[in-house]
Amino acid sequence: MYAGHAALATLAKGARPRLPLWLLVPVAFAPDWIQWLMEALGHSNPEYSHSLLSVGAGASIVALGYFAVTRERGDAFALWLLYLSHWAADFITGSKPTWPGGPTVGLGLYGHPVWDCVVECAVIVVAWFAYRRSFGPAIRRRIGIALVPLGLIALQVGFELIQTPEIRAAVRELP
Amino acid sequence: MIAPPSIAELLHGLPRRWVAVGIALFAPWIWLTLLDAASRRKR
Repeated sequence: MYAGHAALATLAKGARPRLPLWLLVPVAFAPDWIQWLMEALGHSNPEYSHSLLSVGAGASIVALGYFAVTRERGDAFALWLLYLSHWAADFITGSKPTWPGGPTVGLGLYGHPVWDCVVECAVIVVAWFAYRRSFGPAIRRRIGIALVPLGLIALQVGFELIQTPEIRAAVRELP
Repeated sequence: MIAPPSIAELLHGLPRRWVAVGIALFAPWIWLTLLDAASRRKR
């Protein structure tokens, strides 16, 4: 999942308005960021970033760390769930490792790019309705709020386009 | 005096695919953080 992760962060913002979005988005994307940083170090291994075990450990570290600083139990639990949602969301769209030596599982929606785009855009729209609740009535009517889902949908469409075989092959050939 | 490297020079030394993935990861974060902050700013 791509923009759907960001949408789940906005969903969490709607449910727990005190949590800042600048924190929620990195938590929602945390396994991808870890994999990206590990790639830079030359030690990329999905089991360390995306397995059920590593996601559970990462979610617990983030939630406990947040609780230690703020003493906000509900918000810490929301962060825990949001981090875990990464594995569940990726399970729907791709296939992810479970534990060291365990099976890789997933529904592989990436194999059907149009349906993947439809599902992720639906998640973006539903999450946006929840996100709007974190604003007062006057701000909810502002047109600028609509830029949140529109921007995410644009990112998702761009993501689907680079999955097309021609563009994907060109990206893979990048040094 | 040695001039600091430009961003283009720094990026030149990194694998382009890694940079592309980085941009894809940071884009939603920047987009949402800026829009949220702008929307909550008191007028």
